This record gives sequence, C-alpha cells and structure tokens, in this order.
Amino acid sequence: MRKNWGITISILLAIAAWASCGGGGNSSSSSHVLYITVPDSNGVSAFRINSSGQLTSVLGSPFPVGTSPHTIVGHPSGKFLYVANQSEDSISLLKIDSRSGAVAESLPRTPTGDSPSSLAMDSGGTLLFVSNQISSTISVYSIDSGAGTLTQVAGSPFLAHLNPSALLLSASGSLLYVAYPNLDRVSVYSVGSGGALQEIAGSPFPVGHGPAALATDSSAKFLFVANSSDNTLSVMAINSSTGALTQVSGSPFVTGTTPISLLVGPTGVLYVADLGSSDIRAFSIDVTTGALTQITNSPFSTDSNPTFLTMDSGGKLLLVASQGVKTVLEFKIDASSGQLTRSNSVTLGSAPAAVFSAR
Amino acid sequence: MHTATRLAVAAALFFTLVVLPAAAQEMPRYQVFGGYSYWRFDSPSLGFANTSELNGGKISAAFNLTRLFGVVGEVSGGWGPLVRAYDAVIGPQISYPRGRTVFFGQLMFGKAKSRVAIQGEPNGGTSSTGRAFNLAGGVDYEISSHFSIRAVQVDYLSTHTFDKDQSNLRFSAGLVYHFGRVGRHKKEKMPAP
Repeated sequence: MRKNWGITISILLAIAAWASCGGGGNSSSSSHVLYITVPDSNGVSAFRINSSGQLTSVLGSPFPVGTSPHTIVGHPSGKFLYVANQSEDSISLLKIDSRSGAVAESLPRTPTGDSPSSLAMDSGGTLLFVSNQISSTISVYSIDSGAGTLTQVAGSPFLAHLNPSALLLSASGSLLYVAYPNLDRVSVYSVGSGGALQEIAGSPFPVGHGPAALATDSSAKFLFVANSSDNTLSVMAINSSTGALTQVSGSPFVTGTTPISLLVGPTGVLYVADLGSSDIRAFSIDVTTGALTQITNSPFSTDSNPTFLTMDSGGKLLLVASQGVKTVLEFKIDASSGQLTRSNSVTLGSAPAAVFSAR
Repeated sequence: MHTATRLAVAAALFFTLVVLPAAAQEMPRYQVFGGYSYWRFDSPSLGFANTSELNGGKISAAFNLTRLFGVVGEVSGGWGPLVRAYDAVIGPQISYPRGRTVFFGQLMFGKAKSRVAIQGEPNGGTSSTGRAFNLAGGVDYEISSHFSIRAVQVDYLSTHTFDKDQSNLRFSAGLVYHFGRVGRHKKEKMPAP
C-alpha cells in the first residue's frame, strides 16, 4: 500500500512537471518591449518581443501622450521614455513598469520650442537634446536620474540655423550633429559640461540636398548623411581633434529613392530606409576611406514607404516602421554578412512614426 | 504538444498503469473540498515579461452519482502583485477508489475573470471576463469516516480574457469533507454454526 502511494505521488509530480515544461504558461526572461509612436492616435503602442521575435501587445496599449507624437527615446536606466509631441510643442515623460511593459505619463509635460522634431540623449542619460524645427532652436535639458524630470540648462534654447531636423549625438557625448534639410547643411556643435552648445569652426558643412537622417560608424570616424531630395548618401570624415567634417572620396554615394533613415548595425553594415522605393539598402563601409559598397542581395524589399529604422535591443533584429501599410517589420540580421531576412511584423491602426526598443 | 493534450494523455496512462482493476470500494456520495492553490498565470499572453505566481484558494463540491462517476463544481481565486484571477467551473468527475486512496479526474467548463494592475489606469487596473476550461486530476487519502486529505490536485486551466488565451497551471491541496456512501458494500461473513 505504501509502495503504491509512493508511486502515485511520484507519477502525479512527474505529470505536473511535464505539463509545465514548455507549456503556454512559461515565458522567456530575455524578452523586451518595443514602444512605437503613432501620431494620428496621439499614443504610444507597446509590444513585447520574445527571444524568437514573436510580438505580443502589452495590456493597456496604446498609451496616451500629447498631440502628434513623433520621436521617442529611452533613458539608459530603462525607467523612462521621452516622446516629442510635435503639434503640441511638448515632451511627454513616460514611466515604464518593467514587469508588465506598460507605461504611464508623468504630468505636466515639458514645453519645448515650436515643432520639436528630433530627440537625442547622451549615453549616461544626463542630457536631452531637442531640435525645434519651426522656431529654429535647439533645447537642451538636464535629466533627473531619479524622477526623470527635465530642466532646461542655462542658455537653452540655443539658436540654430533655419529649420533644424535630425539630431545625432556622438558616442562620447562631446559633439552634436544637426541636419538642416532646407539649407543642405549639417552643423556640428561641441557640447559643454553643462550641456551648453557651441558651433565649431567651419560649421555648418555642405552635404547633399535635403539631409534627413544622420548616423556614425562605431569608431566615430565617419558621419553618414541621407540626402532625401537627391537620393544619395554623403559620407563625411570626422576630424578627431576639431570635429570638422570633410567629404570622403567618392561621396556622395547613390542609394534608393528618398533615403529617410539610417542605421549602422552590429556587423558594421550601414542600412538605409528608402521611403520612395520601399526598400532597405545595405552598404559595407571601408574602415579606412569610408567608401560604401552595397552588400550581396541588397536592396532588401520591405513594407510600403519605410520611414524609420532602429535596432532591437537584443542586437539581432532590424526594425522598420512603414507608414504605407502601418506596420513595424522585423528583419533578422545575419551575424557575419549583415544580410537581412524578413521575420515577424505587427500592424497598427495608424501609421507609426518612430520605434524605441527598451532593454 | 499542447499542454491540455499532454495532461489528457498522461492522465490516461496514469489510470491505465497505476490504477489497476480496482477492488470494489465504496465512495462518498458528497464531497466538499477547501484548500490552498498556487497558480502559474500566463501573463506573457498579456505582454508581461514573466509568468505571474499567484497564491489563493479553492472550494469545490462534488456529487457522486455512482462509485466512479459524479459531477463537480468549483470556485477558485489567486492573487499576485499585478494579477488577480478567479474562475468558476462545473463538469464531470471520474473517481477510482483503492482502499483509502481515491484518484480522480475532472473536466470542467465555466467562466474566468482576470484583473491586471496597470499604472495610470483610473482604477489602478483593468478587468476582463471570459470562458474557462479546466482539466484536472489528483488524489485524496481518507483519514477518517468524514475527512480526507487532498494531497495534490493539478489543474490545466485555459482561460480567455482580454481577447487573449491564457494557459495556466495550478496546484492545490487541502481538506475534503465527505458524507453519504455510494457503491458496493462488503457483506459481513456470518460465523459457521
């Protein structure tokens, strides 16, 4: 009798263990969340992405923010998101619940200049930069590490040239690059310890027509500029001492129609989203000269009218926001060649503007 | 293999291999169970990072029509920092008594309600009600004429809330109060004259 009892309990426990292994109740602890701005719905949609790239909507999504949210950046602590509300001239501060992935806005919103179009943050999460397109200024805010609140630094907003658009902060945090689509120029500012901006000698530097996006390689030797009006990429060598830009030999390089977003991936390949030709072009970068060469099988077809590229925080997926079909599409990146393979996607109710992948 | 299918196959094997042709035994007519439950709630279906572990309780009542077959209904609740879950289900129960031990299996259908805490929501969270399906099995050990210990009950609980399917696992243990009898009675042997 005792033996049968023991056998029974052992079998029941084994059943329970078997049923719980690999069943629907388990999750990957390596999952993280994508936050997507959707301007037409004045909200931020959130999707959890697991290690297989599968996407699940976060309960409560989409989360309301200000009017016409466009750019989004995340604090390196993983606790906060910042969203530029372009039609409201404000920044929404969102606090992240890491367990559920849900976000909640912390009011009041921070006022900016007229039509904030781009955001950039230093790697330490101490400064936030905002380009105000219509007021032609750049606002700089210090960030409270505990509450995430923003305080404008002394001297901000700083006067810029006409209609600043894309921003890019160097990895060191010492240089801020600003694209001016209406001037066909890129400015370079040195960033002081308190966040004060000072344009360097020789700036702004001429590039192609309609510079819309900026990227640098991992060694910060070159600045890449997407010239959306003449379908080219300008490659600028960065002077390591002064920060001055010089166009490299062979630049500008031809890309698809209306290049609108740039990204240098983990393999060192430069990816370009071409809004007009609905493709992603991939270029290898000559580490000495900066010259660009399309990799095999490039361009890669994507959903209609891609507008934004970002890297999944896991480093293995390229995420593409497409306004034509209102999707965010994943591409798996080959770790050695940088080749892209289409994977999962989500369809939103309205066109996405930007995507941030949280840790 | 889907979890429900695994449990069904395992239950069938279990009853075939372990529950050999049982000697005729009596069964209680009525059984009332109350005890502790531990849930593994499928929060990732709602976009959470990890499965939620809930602690709670369960009560159930069974009416055995025959020694082997009856009907059971149960109400259960589980609570965690972010998730609260409840279900009420009813369905058939199959029992296999062996001496003081009773092995049982249940298949129940009903409703489930889930409440999730979400920061920023007006009431601190949101709730949803949907269908529930529960496939369960366990073992009771009789300790007296009216009480048994439910050593373990394992539930595969499938719920549909917030327009998503959740595959949950639940473990319960507690005390069973039973009364009435159904089944064959042993005839007392009269001594030889």
